[in-house]
Amino acid sequence: MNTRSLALVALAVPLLGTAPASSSDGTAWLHVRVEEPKKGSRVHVNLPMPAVEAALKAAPDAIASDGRIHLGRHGHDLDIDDFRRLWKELKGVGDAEIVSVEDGDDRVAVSKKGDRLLIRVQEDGDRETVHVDVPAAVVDALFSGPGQELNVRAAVAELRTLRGDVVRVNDRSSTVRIWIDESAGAPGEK
Amino acid sequence: MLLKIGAVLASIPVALGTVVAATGVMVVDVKDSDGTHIVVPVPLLLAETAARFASTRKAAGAVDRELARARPYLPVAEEVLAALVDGPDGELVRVDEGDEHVRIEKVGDMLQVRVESPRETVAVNVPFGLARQALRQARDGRVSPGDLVAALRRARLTRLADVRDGGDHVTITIW
Repeated sequence: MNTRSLALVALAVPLLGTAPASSSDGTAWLHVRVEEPKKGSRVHVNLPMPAVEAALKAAPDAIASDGRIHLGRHGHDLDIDDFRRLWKELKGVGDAEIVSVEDGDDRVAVSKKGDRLLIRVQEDGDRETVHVDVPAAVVDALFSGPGQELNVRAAVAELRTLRGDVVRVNDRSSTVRIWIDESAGAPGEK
Repeated sequence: MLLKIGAVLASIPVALGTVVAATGVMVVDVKDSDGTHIVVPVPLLLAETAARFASTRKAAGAVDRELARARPYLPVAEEVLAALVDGPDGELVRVDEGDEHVRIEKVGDMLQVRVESPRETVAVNVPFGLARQALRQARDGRVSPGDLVAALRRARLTRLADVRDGGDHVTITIW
């Protein structure tokens, strides 16, 4: 699994961090599955959302303060403010491709479809893929912080209504799936 | 007169037994592969008293140093634990790697940890109450073995640990 895939998963996990939810009367559970068939290795983690929310508080102060993640302080190339402006403009437009990068067999696409932001990464043809689906309302909340801040707490509050797959990563040797439902233990795996 | 003395003498072990039964006993059962079988019943009241009177300052200092780096995260761990206690029962973690398996489940007020491999099996049941108390004390920098032993009295009829390693078998049970 390469760095980019891991980075996307790492970004998605805190996004999911505090999403307690109740579509019915059940507790929402965050499920993470990591499988490496060649090694015969499977890791299943199921956590009730309130526990994930509590764990999110362990984010180091250098990264998060009051639930907000600070990026770009050291002149890194991810400019949150630019993304925020771009997202604001794109919200008014219908479905659209926001970013598309093709480099040989590698492809990165970020697009808006309906009320979701879709991130698709393909590397080495179809052999490594990353799928991230984020509701637009979550992106709105994420960009609700000022300047170079992502408001993670607001984003996870929006995730309270989310059910289903959020992240899927497949590469040559491993698969990662992160989703939310109301089943404890061994839930609705597809 | 002799009858009265006899009755008084007989009442002492009965009273002791009643106190021990009322306050709990930890039974450590060790079976060795060579056939040795040792059973050590430890009255919790006695263990608690010993833990309170024993000089634990040095050990407490060592624990405190070990926890120095983890201390900022202990309040978070307490909150996570509290959220787990309030949440529904279920499997929290399952790791399968070849013929080695790890399971962590929440069952009532107990965190059950199971580790299985071809050579050994380990089953540990951690009462949430005990874990929360230990975390609280660690956060405050005041780990009291006496208090922790006292907390075991709230975990009666619990097998805290069951370990099989080759032909050896160790169990620790609170009665």
